[in-house]
Amino acid sequence: MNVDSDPILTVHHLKKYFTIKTGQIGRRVSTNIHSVEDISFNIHRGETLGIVGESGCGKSTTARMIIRLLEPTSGEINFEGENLLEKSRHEMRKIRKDIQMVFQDPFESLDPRMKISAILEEPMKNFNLYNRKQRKQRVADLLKEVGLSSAYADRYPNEFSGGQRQRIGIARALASHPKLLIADEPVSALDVSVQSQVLNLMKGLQKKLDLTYLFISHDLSVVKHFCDRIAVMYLGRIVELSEAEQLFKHPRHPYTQSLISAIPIPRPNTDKKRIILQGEVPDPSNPPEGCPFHTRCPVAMEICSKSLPEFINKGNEHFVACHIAT
Amino acid sequence: MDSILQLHHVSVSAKVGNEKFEVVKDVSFHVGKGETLGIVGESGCGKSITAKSIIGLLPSNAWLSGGDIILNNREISSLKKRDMRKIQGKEIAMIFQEPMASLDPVYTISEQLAEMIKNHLKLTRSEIKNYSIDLLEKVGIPRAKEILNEFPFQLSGGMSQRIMIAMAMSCKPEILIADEPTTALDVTIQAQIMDLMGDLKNENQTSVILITHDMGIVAEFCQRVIVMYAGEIVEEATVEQIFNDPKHPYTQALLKSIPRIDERQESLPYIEGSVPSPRSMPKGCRFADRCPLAFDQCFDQEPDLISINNQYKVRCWLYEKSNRKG
Ligand SMILES: Nc1ncnc2c1ncn2[C@@H]1O[C@H](COP(=O)(O)OP(=O)(O)OP(=O)(O)O)[C@@H](O)[C@H]1O
Ligand SMILES: Nc1ncnc2c1ncn2[C@@H]1O[C@H](COP(=O)(O)OP(=O)(O)OP(=O)(O)O)[C@@H](O)[C@H]1O
Ligand code: SF4
Ligand SMILES: [Mg+2]
Ligand SMILES: [Mg+2]
Repeated sequence: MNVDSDPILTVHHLKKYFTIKTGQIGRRVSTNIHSVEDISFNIHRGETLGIVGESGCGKSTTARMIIRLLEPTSGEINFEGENLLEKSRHEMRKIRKDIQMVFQDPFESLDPRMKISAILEEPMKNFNLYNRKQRKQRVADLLKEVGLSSAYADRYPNEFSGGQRQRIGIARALASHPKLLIADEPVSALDVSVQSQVLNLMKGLQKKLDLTYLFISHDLSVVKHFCDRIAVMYLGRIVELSEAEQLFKHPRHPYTQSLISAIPIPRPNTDKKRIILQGEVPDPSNPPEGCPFHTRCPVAMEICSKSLPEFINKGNEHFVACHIAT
Repeated sequence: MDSILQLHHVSVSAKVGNEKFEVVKDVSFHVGKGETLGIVGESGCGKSITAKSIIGLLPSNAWLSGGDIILNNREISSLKKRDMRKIQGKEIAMIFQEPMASLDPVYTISEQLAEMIKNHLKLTRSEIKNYSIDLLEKVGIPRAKEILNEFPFQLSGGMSQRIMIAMAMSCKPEILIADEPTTALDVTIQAQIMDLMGDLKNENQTSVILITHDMGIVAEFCQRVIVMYAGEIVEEATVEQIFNDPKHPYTQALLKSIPRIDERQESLPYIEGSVPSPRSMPKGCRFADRCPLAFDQCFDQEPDLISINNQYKVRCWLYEKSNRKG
């Protein structure tokens, strides 16, 4: 990793509420789902920031706001020093070429009716890059870049395995020469060998093309291997953020501790002390007072249900939001 | 252990365009009452297709091209659709790998759950409703009551997955086929779901077929494991044997590519090359061109699945008696 001091992306107090209608027909009421409550972080050039957290805690929503597939309810997103939320559609188009996304599902995210060449050319056409001949060349180069034969350009997605499709997804994301790649669960559908192949590939490309990654996953061993820093989310907030090794050695937040303790170990008959969480999973339309985790926290005290803990640097850039964590 | 389900030489073929090809070949195994059997193997090796053949829900362009499936001493693969439907949900239930695709977008969650429940259990409408709420709470869904009236698109990936799980468990099936049941879930919820499956097993002697890429889950929950490669079983053994002394070179390589949580790895080991396509299977061992131990015979002749002892089977020339030293 070669980290620049300037962050390439800064996110400030990002918030997203979805308003939905619930209740029986005729007696419908509006409810706000607090998908993302208050998220702030930054990513440095060339760095990989991992986001882990409970299902439904707002990881994908955060990613979709950054690439502007979703409008934030409030907050700020700065990319290379510019506030994205103040950009016009036209200006945004230019920036979109720099921020690309790799999706979880390699089966759903590629249009089955399009040839691989057309899939890879699409972003180049969208951003008016290259003439026709150059695009053909770029398709061949991209396929080579992700370790596939350029002969594959004329084939259709259903002729490829999961791992190969995920490589095509990565190639498509790289087509417009992005600077920041957001990967939302890019390897969870893959078996461990193919997963390793794709992760190695992404690491290699990062070095070669000086890419910055925002990497969303719930597989802690993958995140630990792949990321420089890790943010742990819970119910729309970041509850802990630290350098990767440090987070695993000294998890400070009780949620992170229970996460790490629950990782299944690939060895039969390992006796492992596991923190099983009890208590009610909180409701994002009516988040609890105080610490968002207190309803399930095994060490919660009275203060935890009353006041929201601050996000504090405990030294060594290890941040945690917990009244009790030392 | 009494076996409740047996597959005898099951083969599945598919047709795409004018081309017919075999995607699963000569698969035989049994599942004991109350047992958890794991199925692992490279993406595309035929795990899901095998599972779907058992419950009679193969894709429309695929069919059972050979073999028998015996459930409780009754051959079920030749049953009419209508008779099969009586078995689905109650005798065998399945958690599908693609939760998003398996939930119907036009019905609310409660309608879909009720459909399943009322087919098999004699409950009144209000009992069904309470039971549904109870099920969703058990799989850790917050605001269960409201979620029941929502549509699949309003849920995160992990929430849809848990709804599928609730649905599959709703009628307390004798056999539960779980195809990647927890890929979209964080490990604390995963632990909760696996606990729930454990309860179902203990209370009803449910047998579980667990398909997963997560070797940690296999190590923790399965008694026996089947390893598949390119449409065939290549190894079958107890979980201890698989992890402590894997015999097939593919299994050995697969286990080596698991990212290690306890050490820093610069790049992850993986298996070079890719699986042969079902449309052009090599004539020898299907793993030969990726196998570090392959010798001449491997490229010429396909090895049989041979029994090493009554609990252990492997498909590899290295273990054929004539090739074994001593
Ligand atoms: N379009 C929508 N309408 C209403 N609620 C939504 C919508 N999209 C997401 N949500 C809600 O926002 C919350 C966060 O969803 P999000 O998809 O960001 O979670 P996630 O962290 O990515 O979870 P997972 O790990 O399961 O993918 C969930 O409670 C979800 O139900
Ligand atoms: N409807 C279909 N038509 C044609 N081929 C199919 C169909 N469904 C699956 N296949 C092929 O059959 C093989 C086995 O597929 P299957 O879905 O069982 O794999 P899997 O082991 O479950 O993989 P994964 O781990 O990626 O889920 C693959 O080569 C796949 O491409
Ligand atoms: S039969 Fe040969 S090629 Fe196949 S796994 Fe065994 S040693 Fe390797
Ligand atoms: Mg998500
Ligand atoms: Mg599958």
